Amino acid sequence: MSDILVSVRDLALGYSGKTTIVVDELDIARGTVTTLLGPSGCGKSTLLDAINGLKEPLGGTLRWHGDGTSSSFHPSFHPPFHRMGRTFQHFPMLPWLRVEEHFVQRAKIIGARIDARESLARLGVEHLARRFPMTLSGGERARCAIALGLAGNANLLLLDEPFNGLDYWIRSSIVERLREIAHEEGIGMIVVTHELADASAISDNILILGGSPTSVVRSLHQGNERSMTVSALEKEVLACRP
Amino acid sequence: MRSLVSLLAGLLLWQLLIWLFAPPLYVLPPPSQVFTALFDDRAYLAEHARITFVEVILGGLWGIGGGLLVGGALAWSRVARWLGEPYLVALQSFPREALAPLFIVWLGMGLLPRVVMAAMISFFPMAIASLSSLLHTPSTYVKMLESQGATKYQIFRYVRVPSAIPEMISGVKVALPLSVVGAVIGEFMGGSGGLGYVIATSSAAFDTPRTFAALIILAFFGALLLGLIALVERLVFGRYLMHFRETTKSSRKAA
Repeated sequence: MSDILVSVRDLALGYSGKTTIVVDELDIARGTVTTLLGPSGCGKSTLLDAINGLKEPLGGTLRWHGDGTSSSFHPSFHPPFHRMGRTFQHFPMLPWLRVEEHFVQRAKIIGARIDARESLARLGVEHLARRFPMTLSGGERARCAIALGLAGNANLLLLDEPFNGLDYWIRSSIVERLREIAHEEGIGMIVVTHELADASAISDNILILGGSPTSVVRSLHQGNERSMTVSALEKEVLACRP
Repeated sequence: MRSLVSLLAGLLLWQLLIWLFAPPLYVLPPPSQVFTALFDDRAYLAEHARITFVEVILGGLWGIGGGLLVGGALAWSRVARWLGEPYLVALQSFPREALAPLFIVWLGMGLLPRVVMAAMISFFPMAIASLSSLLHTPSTYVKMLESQGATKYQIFRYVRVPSAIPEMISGVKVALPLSVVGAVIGEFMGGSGGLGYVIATSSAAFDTPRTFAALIILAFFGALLLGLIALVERLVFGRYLMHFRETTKSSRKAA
């Protein structure tokens, strides 16, 4: 069994034939957290969409590995949604569904069995199962949405701007829990953010995106020690400016 | 409580007008006369009210059901929308009440033309409300489902329809009272039943108290229907409005 969950080679993404992002090489391994760091509008979310299987590349290959199968992106191919989870900025949830009902819905969509309480327990929020999203605090909703993303044996978690609007205390406790989950359960995570502090706190690998068309201009590996301080990261980012 | 007080205030104003201007009975009868008519003619009025009620309910159900179906179909299919939307817009601005005589010619004098009239008048606002509400799904909700690999049908069923419910209920609140309008117009056109017929014949005979009595029953119909919708809204669709209600509440607080 390979440790690589997703590999990207010479990937070109864009709109109506115009290339806006190029990624030469990117591998996401089990148990690692990779952050895509870059200015707003540089195409981080577009890259996340492609890895999510929602956006067809203009060129190159995008391959999901797992359970011994590997598949390239082509029109007739169905991306392995059941092995991916994704959260969005501000952790939206459907206001008319109780927290646990989101898990029932996900189970129907991905065609898997999901135990809502068990999934919620991974983030320590099983007591919120019967609540409606509106009644949750920001931190509670973040935990519920992450639990939903991980539900149903997802081994790849895509987090789109996960920490916007959350205070320091909630952020740091969620960051710690996400790292534990990644390492203990062998889940690969991709975080999209423009916050240097979040990037240095959560990542094993940091990819700084920039340029036009956007590409990976710097790739940093800090590993489990997370040795990189925010000011060191700031220097790196500044050095990448054209 | 509030509505009761404002009702009494309205009656008082009415009585005041009578005292001040002493209009002839056939112009503006005093409230007492109207209530006497309401009571004395109760069997006659109840008979005609029942006819109108049946027309309103049948017409309203067809209009609202058809509106939901057509709005849903146009929201589902881009081709259907491309073909159908111009008709919807054109007919929405067309004075559809003017078609009533034509329906009498096509469908005769009985129940049918009135039901069709009620259905047609309530259909358009409902179709437009359901189409626009189904198309204005918050894009984050759609994206959330797409990211899990949901099919077009699943997105429609799990996100588009539930998030459209508040606006659809607003559509019903417009459409159902309009079916009363449709039924009454149909009754004006001919035949021999319904409150519209009572109004037409009694006012032609200068029996204004009876006209007013019929009008009061019609007003009561409207209120009854709105109350019924509010009840269904609370009992059946509460969770779909929760978010909506919360946002309006907080914006009211801010204001």
